[in-house]
Amino acid sequence: MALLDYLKQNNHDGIILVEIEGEQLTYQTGSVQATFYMSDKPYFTESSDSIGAIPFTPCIESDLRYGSTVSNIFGTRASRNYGTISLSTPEVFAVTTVSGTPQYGVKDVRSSISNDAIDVASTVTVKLAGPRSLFTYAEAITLFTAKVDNVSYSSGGGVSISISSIIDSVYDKSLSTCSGTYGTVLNMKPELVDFATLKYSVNDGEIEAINGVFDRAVALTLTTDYTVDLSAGTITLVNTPDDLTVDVSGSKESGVFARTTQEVVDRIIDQVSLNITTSSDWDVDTDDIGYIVENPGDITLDVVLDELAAGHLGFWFVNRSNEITMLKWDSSGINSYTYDETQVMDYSWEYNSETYRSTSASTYDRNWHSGGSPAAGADPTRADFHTSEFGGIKVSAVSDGVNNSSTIEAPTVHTYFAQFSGSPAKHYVVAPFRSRVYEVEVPAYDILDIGDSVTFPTDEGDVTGLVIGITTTLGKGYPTNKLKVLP
Amino acid sequence: MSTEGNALFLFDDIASAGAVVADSEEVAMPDDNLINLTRSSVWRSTAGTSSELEFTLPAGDSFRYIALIDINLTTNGTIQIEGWTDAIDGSTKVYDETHNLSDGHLGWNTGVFGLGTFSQRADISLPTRNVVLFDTEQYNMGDRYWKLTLTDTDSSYQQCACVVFARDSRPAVNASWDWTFSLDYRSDIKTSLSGVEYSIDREDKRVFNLSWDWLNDLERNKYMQRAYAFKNNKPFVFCLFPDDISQKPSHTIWGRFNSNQISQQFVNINKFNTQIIEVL
Repeated sequence: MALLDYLKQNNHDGIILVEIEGEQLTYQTGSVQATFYMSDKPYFTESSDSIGAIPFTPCIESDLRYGSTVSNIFGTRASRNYGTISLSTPEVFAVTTVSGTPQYGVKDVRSSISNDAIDVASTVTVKLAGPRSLFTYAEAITLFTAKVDNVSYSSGGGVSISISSIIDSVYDKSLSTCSGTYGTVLNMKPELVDFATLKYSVNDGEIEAINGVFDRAVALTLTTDYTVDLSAGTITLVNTPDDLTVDVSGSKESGVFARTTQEVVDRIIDQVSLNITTSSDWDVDTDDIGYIVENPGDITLDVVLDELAAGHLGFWFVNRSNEITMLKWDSSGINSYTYDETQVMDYSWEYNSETYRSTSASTYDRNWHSGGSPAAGADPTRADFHTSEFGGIKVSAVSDGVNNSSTIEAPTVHTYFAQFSGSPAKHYVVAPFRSRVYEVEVPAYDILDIGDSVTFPTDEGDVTGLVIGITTTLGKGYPTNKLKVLP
Repeated sequence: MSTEGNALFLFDDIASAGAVVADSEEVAMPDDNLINLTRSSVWRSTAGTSSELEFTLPAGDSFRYIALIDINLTTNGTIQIEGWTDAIDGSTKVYDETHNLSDGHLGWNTGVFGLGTFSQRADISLPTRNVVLFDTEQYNMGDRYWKLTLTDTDSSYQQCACVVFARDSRPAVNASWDWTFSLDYRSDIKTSLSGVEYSIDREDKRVFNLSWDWLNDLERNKYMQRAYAFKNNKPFVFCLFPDDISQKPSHTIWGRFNSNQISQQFVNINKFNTQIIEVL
């Protein structure tokens, strides 16, 4: 029997395991920081387990809550909040490695007393285990990983550890080194990097292809008018241009050209050295997109994710495995769960009315000087793309129309801006949106997350919807999930 | 009237002032934990079906009872207790008894020994949280060298939280009628729309409410001292009906006082009211 099936049976023990990597306050040659092991009930691993025979200190005395909610249900990002772990004692079993040899013993978690202590930024892993005689340590389910925000001690010996999501680092993560052109972009304005040779850079590194070079919308000729260095991401002109734009298939690494939204995000995450990946659960359009980061020092990763999610009328969040997932609002959900009335402890609903923000908020112009005119022989349908609102980002994942109905229309992702013509316009301006949002309380033993699909019974029949908020309570009481569900 | 009442306290563990050596230990659960009275600090052997624990007790102390807290042996296990005057495995053996846990402990497999996952059933989680109490029937045994051999072919290692060697403290007159035993139910129940209840098992604490109405003056003073010294947070072994320990081990708990009241009702009539609650 799987652990979750076992735990779902009435009266069965679930054990919360918390592992915290302490911070080494004074560097000791050859040693690494301690890992503290604690639980809410007695739990001992066995020597055949990956962490050996470890006695978890049963000192967790608080309910453990963790939650994740799309902060504005029609905004794009999701927040993840965790509560506080209260310990009844500061003395917790720990393993430290000194010169390659593990040292075992009870250590004080307080920084004022111990060299190895739980401190701000320590990594926290929370697991749900079954009785060790029935389930191995490897079968314990990792509920989430987080980091320590604050540690406080009471005079009675109690310890309070506030924890929060590691996705704060997504919000804070500057793209300072990620300048570049991703996917297929039309009419980008390259940067003049060598005045003497008229060398222009279209990307900071190797690119897939240069698809066209234009001066005031007049196509230039390869070799005659310009040469290309794909490995450096540059073009070199023969004559000084008047108003240069380039069609580029951009960033290429290890022979792989990033085309789709997910591939572009993967590429950018790689470049910012963040210990996070994209999940396999993405459910947004897989068309080619184009995306330019011009002033990376001014923007952070969450802005990029907001923008790219907006291009799909979607939202993004970080799942329990700390992977970024992007979904469309009309997604059917990553995992689906069905509850019957024996499992639903409570439900209620309310109308909620909010507005999509003008997600792309992008305008486009012709690719000649504003107020000027195209050069003789130019293609007048070509357009240049501008987005002044988002700190230098240009995005080509845009809708082809204005949606003002009360339903969400799936966007169309366009590769070519030239499909647009006419006066500057904005896209994705959606009228106020009114929908029921359900609050449902169910047992916590399904490892639900934002983006999952749930079906549950109500007086009006079964309701199926997308989980847009979740608060899980574990600990002394019976564990419950409180879900916000958008049908 | 018996000179030993029906309740037993082991207040003063002498082993914790001595030394212990096990013939094997997991590095994370060393043998020193056997004389550390914190219940969550346990000793565990390495893989095997038998272990020897060698205790050297402090000079000048004596004991009668041996209690093993949270031992993981099943009903197929045996515990051999040996004692010497001169040295462990020395020339002067003074005690040698082997207790077969299936003999005289018939209730262990099917009875009310603990609850749920904390019963002795071998298919349920180890470690169990049991207190096993042995009466050497040797009053004030002063010999210092003791070996406990734990054997159990049904488990792959031996584990124990602590071993207590102590003299008993017991009022001469039984605890009065109307004593109560109850369980502090600590699980939380949630009810679904259809009425189905969900709860998560948490170990219950065993609680005794007891009264001794006929303490003599010496006992009165002694229990006043004990109540003061142990306050409400220092654990000890408590057993109701110690004469039946071979049959009713559930009455032995690792507990603490929760409240105490001692009063003198009349000349030479002293009353001791207490609640003893299990320490998990």
